Amino acid sequence: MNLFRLSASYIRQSGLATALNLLLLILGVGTISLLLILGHELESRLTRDAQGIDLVVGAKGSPLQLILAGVFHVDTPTGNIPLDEALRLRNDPRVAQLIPISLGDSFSGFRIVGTEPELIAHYGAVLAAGRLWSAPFDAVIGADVAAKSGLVVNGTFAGVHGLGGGGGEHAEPYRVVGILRPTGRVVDRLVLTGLASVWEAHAHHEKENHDAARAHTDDDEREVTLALIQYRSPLVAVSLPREINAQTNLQAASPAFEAARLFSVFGFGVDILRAFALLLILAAGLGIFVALYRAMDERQYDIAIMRMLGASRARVCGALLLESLLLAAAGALLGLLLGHFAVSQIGVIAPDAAPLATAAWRWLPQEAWIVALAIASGILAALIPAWRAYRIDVAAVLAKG
Amino acid sequence: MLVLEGIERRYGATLALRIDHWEARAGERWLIAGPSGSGKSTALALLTGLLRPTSGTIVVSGQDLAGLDGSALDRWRGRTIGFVPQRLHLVASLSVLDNVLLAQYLAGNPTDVHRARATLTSVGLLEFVDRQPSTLSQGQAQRVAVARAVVNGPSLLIADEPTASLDDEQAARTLELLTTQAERSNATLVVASHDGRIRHAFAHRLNLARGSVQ
Repeated sequence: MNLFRLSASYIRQSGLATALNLLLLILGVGTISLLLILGHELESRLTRDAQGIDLVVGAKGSPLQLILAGVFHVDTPTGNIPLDEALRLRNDPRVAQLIPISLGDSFSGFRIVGTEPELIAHYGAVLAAGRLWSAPFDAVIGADVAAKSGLVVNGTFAGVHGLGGGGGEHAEPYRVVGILRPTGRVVDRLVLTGLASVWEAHAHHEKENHDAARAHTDDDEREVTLALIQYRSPLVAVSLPREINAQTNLQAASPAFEAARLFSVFGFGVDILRAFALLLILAAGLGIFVALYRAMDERQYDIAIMRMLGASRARVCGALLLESLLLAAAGALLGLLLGHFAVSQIGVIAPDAAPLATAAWRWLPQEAWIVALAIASGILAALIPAWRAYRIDVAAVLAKG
Repeated sequence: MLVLEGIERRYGATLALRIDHWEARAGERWLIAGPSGSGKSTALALLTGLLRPTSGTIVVSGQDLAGLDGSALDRWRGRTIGFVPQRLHLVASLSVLDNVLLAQYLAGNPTDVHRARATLTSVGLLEFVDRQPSTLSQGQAQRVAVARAVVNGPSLLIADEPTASLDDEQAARTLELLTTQAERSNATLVVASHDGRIRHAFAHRLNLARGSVQ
C-alpha cells in the first residue's frame, strides 16, 4: 500500500468522467505534438532542400512560384528563359556556381529535370549504381524514384509531357544509366538527365503537334526554365538580385526569403490549430478540476479517516495532487504516442505527405514542453481540491457521520 | 494510561465539555455515556488530539498531547489510537485487505500483509479480503473497520456509537468483538454511546450529562 496505489484506485473508480477528461487531454497533446513534428520536419526538409541555393533566376512572375518549382519541385515554373542569358550570369564574378535547370516533363509523378552533373554534387548525392548521362535520353534516377518505380540500370521509361501527369507520352523513351543513393533531399524524387534530352523531347513534341514554329535545337534560341545560383560571398545578396530584377528580363528570387513567406502563410493555420489543441488541454484540466472538486464532498470522509489513521495534512494533499498528476502524465504520454502514431500514418490521410512519416518516431526537445504543460494543468486542477483537503476539520467531519 | 486533568473545551463563550478529572488504566473498558449534545464527540476528539482543550492537560499512554504538533501528532495518533467511527468510512475504492493495509501505511508502519490477513481472520473476515466494501453487509463492514483500527496494535481503542443502528443481537456481537480485540492488543477500550443496551458491559463509566466519573 502506498499513495500511488491509493490514487490509482480512485482513478479506476471514477470511470467515465475520468476517461473523458483523459481523452480530451490525449487529443489536445496529440494534436500539438502532431503539428510540432510535421512543422519541424517540413521546415527542416525545406531548409535542407534549399541549402546552398542563394538565388533562383527564372522568367518573370511569382517569385514564390519560381522557388517552389526550382528548389522544392512542387509547382509549375513561371516560364522559360534564354540559355545564353543564364550563362552570362555564370561569368559574373559574384557568382560562385550556376546550375541551369530545364523542367517540363515527368515520369509517374516524378519530375524529369534537365540539368548539368553539378546538380548531383550540389545535393551531395552519389551514384549507387551505373554512371552519369552522356547522351540525350540517358537518365539518372533518385533513390525514391528507383524504389517506387522498380526501375534498374538499363531499364527504359517514357516521359510524359507536363509535371502532374495526364499529358501525352513522348515518343523517345529514356534509358536509366545510373541510380543515386538516398540523400533525404529533394533529389531522391527527381529524374535527372542532360539539358539536351529536354530540348530534344520538346522538339519532337512540337513537331508531333505540328507546332514547330521554333527549332529548339538551334544554339542561339535554346532555353532553360531557371538557374540555381550560389554566391561567392553573402554580401552579393545586396546587389545581384536587385540588379537582375531591374536590368534584365529575368526574375531573381531568394529561397530563404520565399520559404519564410510561405511559412508565415501556412503558419497562420497552424497557429489556429495549436490554439484549438491548447483549448482541449485547458478543457481537460478544467474537467479534472471539476471531477476532483465534486468528488471532494464524498472524499472528505476518506480524507478525515486517513487523517485519523495517521496521515498528515501534507500527505492527504499529496494524494490528491498525485491523482491529478497521474491523470495528466498518462494523458501527456498517451497523447504524445498518438501524435507520433498519427505522423507515422500521415501517408494514409495525405499520400503527398507520406515522406514526412519518416520523422514519426523522432522525438523533439519541444515535446518536453507539452508534457510540462499537461502536468502543470494537472497540478492547477488539483490545487483547490488539495487546499480543501488540507483544511478539513477531521473531528467535525467524523462527528457529522 | 489515560489522564485528563481540569479539562474545559469552549466554543466562544459556550462551554462544550468539562472533565475535572478522569483517569483510566491500561486494559480497562470505559463507556462515555450521555445524550446527544452532551459532548461525547468533543471528548473523543480531545483524546485523539484532533481538538485542543481550552484549558487542562491530556496525557495518553504517557504522552502529554500538548507536546505534540502537526505531523508528529498525526503519526502519534496513527500508532497509538485505533478509532472505529460511527459511519465506518471504509475507503470505497480499495479492497477490504487494502483498507487494512492503508491503516498500516498511514501510521508509518511497514505494510505487512500477513499481519493484516491475521487481523482480518481474527474478526472472521478471511474469505472477504479481496471484496470491495460496497459488497459487504453493515456487520461485515463494521468488522473491517474494527480490523483497521486494531491492526497497528493501538494502546487505546475508541469506538463512536458502535451499536447505534444495530439490533440487539448484532449490538451484543459488536460489543463482544470490541472487547476481544481490545484484549488482544492489551488496549484500553473507550466506547462513546447513548445506547442503554450496552451499559451493563462496562465496569467504568464517564457520564457526561452529569460531568462526573463513575
